[in-house]
Amino acid sequence: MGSIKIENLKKYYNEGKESEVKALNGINLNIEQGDLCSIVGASGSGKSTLLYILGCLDRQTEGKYYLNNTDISDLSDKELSILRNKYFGFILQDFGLIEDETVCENIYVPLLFSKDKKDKNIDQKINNLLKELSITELKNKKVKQLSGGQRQRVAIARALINDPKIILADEPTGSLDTKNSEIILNLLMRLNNQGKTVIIVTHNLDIADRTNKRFLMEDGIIKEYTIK
Amino acid sequence: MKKNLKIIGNLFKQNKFKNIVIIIQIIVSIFVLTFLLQKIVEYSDTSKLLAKMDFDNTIVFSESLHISELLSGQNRNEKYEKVKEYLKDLDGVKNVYNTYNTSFENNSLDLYTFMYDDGLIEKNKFNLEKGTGFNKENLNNKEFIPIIVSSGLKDKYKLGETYEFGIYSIPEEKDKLYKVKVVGILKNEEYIYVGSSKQTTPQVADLFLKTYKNEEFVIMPNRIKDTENYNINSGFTVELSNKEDFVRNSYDKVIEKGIGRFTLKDKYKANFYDDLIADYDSYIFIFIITYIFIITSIGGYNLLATLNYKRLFTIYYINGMQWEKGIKLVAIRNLLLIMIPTIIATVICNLLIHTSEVTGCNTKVCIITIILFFVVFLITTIGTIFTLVKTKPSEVLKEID
Repeated sequence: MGSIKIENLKKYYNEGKESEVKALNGINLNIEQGDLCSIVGASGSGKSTLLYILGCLDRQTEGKYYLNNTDISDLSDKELSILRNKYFGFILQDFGLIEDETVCENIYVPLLFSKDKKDKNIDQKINNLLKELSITELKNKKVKQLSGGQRQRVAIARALINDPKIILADEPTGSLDTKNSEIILNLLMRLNNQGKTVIIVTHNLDIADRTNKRFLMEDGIIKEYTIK
Repeated sequence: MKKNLKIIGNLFKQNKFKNIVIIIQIIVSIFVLTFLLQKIVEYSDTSKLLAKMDFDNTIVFSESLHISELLSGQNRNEKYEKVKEYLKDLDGVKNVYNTYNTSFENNSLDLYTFMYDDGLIEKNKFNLEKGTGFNKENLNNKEFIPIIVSSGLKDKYKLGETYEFGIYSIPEEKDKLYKVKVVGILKNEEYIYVGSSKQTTPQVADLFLKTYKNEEFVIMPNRIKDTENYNINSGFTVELSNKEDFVRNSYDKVIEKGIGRFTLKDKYKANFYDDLIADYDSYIFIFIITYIFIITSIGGYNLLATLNYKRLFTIYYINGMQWEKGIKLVAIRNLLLIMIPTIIATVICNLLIHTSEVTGCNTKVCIITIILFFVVFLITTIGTIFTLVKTKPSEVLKEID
């Protein structure tokens, strides 16, 4: 569980029109379960677009997408939503949290859309996550009262609440200082050590160097692929 | 279900201030609309009733207290009969009827009473909630006088029961009781034609043709003819056989005799009807402008609130929500936000403004108000849905990220 394979993936915007943009122009990649990957590239290289398609947030124009060896290219929106909820956890640069809600309420969001039966131990689960991420004391605080580093840890807790197999992080340290960046990166690596597939999109080569698979993107294609 | 309710709760939490503003807008709008609707419904009901009375071929005289030479030296009852005979002989007149207004008493309850000539009873269709109404059998009954009571009296006077009414205002008649039997109960909020003026709402009193909404009153055939000098007013309704003959030959004679005020539809139109229609048209115009304003202000503000949901829904989308589900939940949120305050405010407002004399709350006005605000809900929700359908989560995500 947690493997991804894409074949000749293309994503075009305004296809056929003068303003056509080829965001992805034939991507092939293979990510095994438990990989710690990075997708690197300059701004506009297509890395975020690729991440969104990997996370079932957007659909490709052409190409095949295999998740756990199953072709999910033609699934319905409903089916993709279920996959998103079950298999993926997202961590965004700007945290993607609901400012006026508490930490606990934010962490609970994925459970609102889960098709699984209600877990009787969910409160315990949330408490364990908060403890693991050293934010127990923030449980009932509103997100807008938190610092950047604390918010990103809340975002990670939310991403983990459904125990996803794949973590997708889009510039997870982009809004953080050095100290908090290091904390977050270490957290992601710890998750990878626990068996989760972690895919990080970044323009920071230092971060990319700490992953064991690196995909360098340029102009919508993978220009270079490195395995450590 | 629980999860959906939680999400809807979150939608309300997201726009607390805007929700409060929308609710205030709804409440204020309902007060304004209820006032306008009450007037429009009243005028509309009155117009329908006028149409029912075959207005073109009927003229009405107001209470004939001012009738001059025809009335001198005689008691009132005989005065009215004399006027009636005089009118009957005029060119172009087919029939003359009276409606008498008086007060009866029963168990110290002062009952406003309309007494119709039998001919006018036949012309008048009373919309009843219960009972057979007047028919040949009960009109010819010697043991009791059949009465129809207004809806406001239905708890006090039961269908099929007999009561004793007296005319206590006349000392000589103080001990005389008339046996009456309830043969019908008027429908709630029904207007009836009374043929003479009564000082209630100024607009309708100006009509001369008085339409009487469902307050507490009694209708009976005129069986009290012989008593002198009792407190009674009368209106004459004249059915014309030939309007041109009447206008050409009889009109001026009626004026010369001083038989109070009168109304032909043309004269009525010239003097009063156009004013009535102008009032009605003004109310309709103000109503339309107000309603357009309501749609744009509530709709616009609601759309602003909706734009806030793009970010929230994108966060939900990332975590497994279908975009279509979000749209459905916003529609439900709009329904609750608009319709619950509408229903509550409509009922309270109608009771405060007292749109119905009987129940305090005019059902027609309430239903129309609720329907109008349902249309507001539909229009604003279509705008909301359109906005959200056009939104691509991946584009919002780029803004967030």
